Amino acid sequence: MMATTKGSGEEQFRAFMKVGELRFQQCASCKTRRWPPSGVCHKCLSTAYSWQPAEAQAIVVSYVKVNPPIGSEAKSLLEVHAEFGGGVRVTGRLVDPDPIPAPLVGRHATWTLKPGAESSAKFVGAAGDYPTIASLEFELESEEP
Amino acid sequence: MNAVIVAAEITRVGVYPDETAVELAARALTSALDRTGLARPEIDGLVWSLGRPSGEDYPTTVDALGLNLRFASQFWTHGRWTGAAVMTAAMAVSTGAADIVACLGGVKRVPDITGPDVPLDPTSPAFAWSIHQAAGMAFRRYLTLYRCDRDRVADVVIAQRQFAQNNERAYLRAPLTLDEYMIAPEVIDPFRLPDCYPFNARGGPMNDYGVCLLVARPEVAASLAGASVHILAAQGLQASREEIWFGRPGLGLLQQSSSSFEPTKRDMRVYADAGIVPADIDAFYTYDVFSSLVWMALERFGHCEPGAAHKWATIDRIGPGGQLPVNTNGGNLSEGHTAGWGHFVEMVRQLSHEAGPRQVPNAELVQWGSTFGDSVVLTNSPRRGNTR
Repeated sequence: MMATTKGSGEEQFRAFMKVGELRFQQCASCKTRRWPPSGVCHKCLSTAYSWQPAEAQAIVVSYVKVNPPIGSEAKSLLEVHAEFGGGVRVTGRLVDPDPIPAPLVGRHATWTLKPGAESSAKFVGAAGDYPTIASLEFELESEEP
Repeated sequence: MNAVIVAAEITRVGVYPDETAVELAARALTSALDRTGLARPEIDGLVWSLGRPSGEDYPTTVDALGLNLRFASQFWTHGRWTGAAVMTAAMAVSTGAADIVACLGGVKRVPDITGPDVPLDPTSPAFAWSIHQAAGMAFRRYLTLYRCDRDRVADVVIAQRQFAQNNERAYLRAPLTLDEYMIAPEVIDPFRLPDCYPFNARGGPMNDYGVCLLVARPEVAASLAGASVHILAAQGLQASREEIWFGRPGLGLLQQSSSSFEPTKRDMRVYADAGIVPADIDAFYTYDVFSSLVWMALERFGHCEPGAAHKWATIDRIGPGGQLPVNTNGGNLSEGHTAGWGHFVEMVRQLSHEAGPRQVPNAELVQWGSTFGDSVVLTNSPRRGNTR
């Protein structure tokens, strides 16, 4: 675990992504995870925190299928909302979504960060978008036979 | 509340390539003044509801329209603020901060904000990470939690289109059948094209408009021509980490809790303040940029049980002639994206019994309520109004 630090953490979050690491802030005082990166703990208002590596697996809780325009030969994309520890849920793209496994919600998935990920993180949307990381990719774990 | 809406005017919802946001607002203001017989200097309060980036900011507007105010307020352009803007105007006249407040706005979305239409590119973050995705994630979560059939939401879309067919202001008026709905493109599954407000290839709203509601103290309103619609009760936008746009608490998105949802005292307070119960409402209006929001709003305000909207909100119940007509202007889905202002204009029309073929018989109480928990109850009955 890295040393306790302060500040919004967004810059550091992007620096971790640049080297392929996904890390979340943990409050130094009450141990609550923060998402998206923030300089203040929403539970106890402490400004101190450390960085924890994301778990290797997350659980899919929701998804949308983004379809190409009519007539296009582009493939559909599947964006999934997946839950890490501490109730942190992050949106990324599912690799090889065709066909969509049913049910998809509840499946375990591993993650990777594509090169250039640090520039794609979006934490605040003016219209209320969800925090997303466009270069975060999930791959479903095989189901037990 | 001690406040009366005396005018509610909106331009046709469409594309105005040669007019600015302020010019569109001026059109609506002029109509409202004509309806009431008021002169512009008599307006002493402003709630400028549609600020930048889609609209203009209040100093520019006040300057351009030659207003002279003792109360001014502004919200940024977004549907979440519509109920709050009306509530702010009501509070201003109720407290004596102003005598007559104009809830005024103009929006110029095409093409300066959203840019020229471009082919929908699913690999483009500009679209893939859009509000459509955010709303879709919330809707999928809802469908999963309650194990309901997505296609049932077609009734919301079709019912509102039936109303829009008789609304000359509406952007989409062509009839829509279930068969047509079922073969419509799945833009972002779980949404088909008609489940979304009319949008361009980058996801931005297609339409422009100008709007003006005039809110006055009852003693001032009594001497005016125009409407006489009392703001019976109002509650503000709810804000917490549990609130998410395009959903409601308990869906388990972001760091929101994942719990069984029940309307809270906060959600239902507007009824207690108005001295009514949900069954008293004659028509319901909600922010419906996506069809799923109608289900969630009906549940949040106790019109049906949580998780039951997919069975409850049938065309027969929420469409023309139904038990609880919803968004009788056609809503954002059909009238066009007006952030809810078209809904408020329609509420006043209904209570003035000027809604023509869309008229809800004997309409006396109508309600605005969004998935964010804000609500405004209006009435045309003085015996109900001004009780608090």
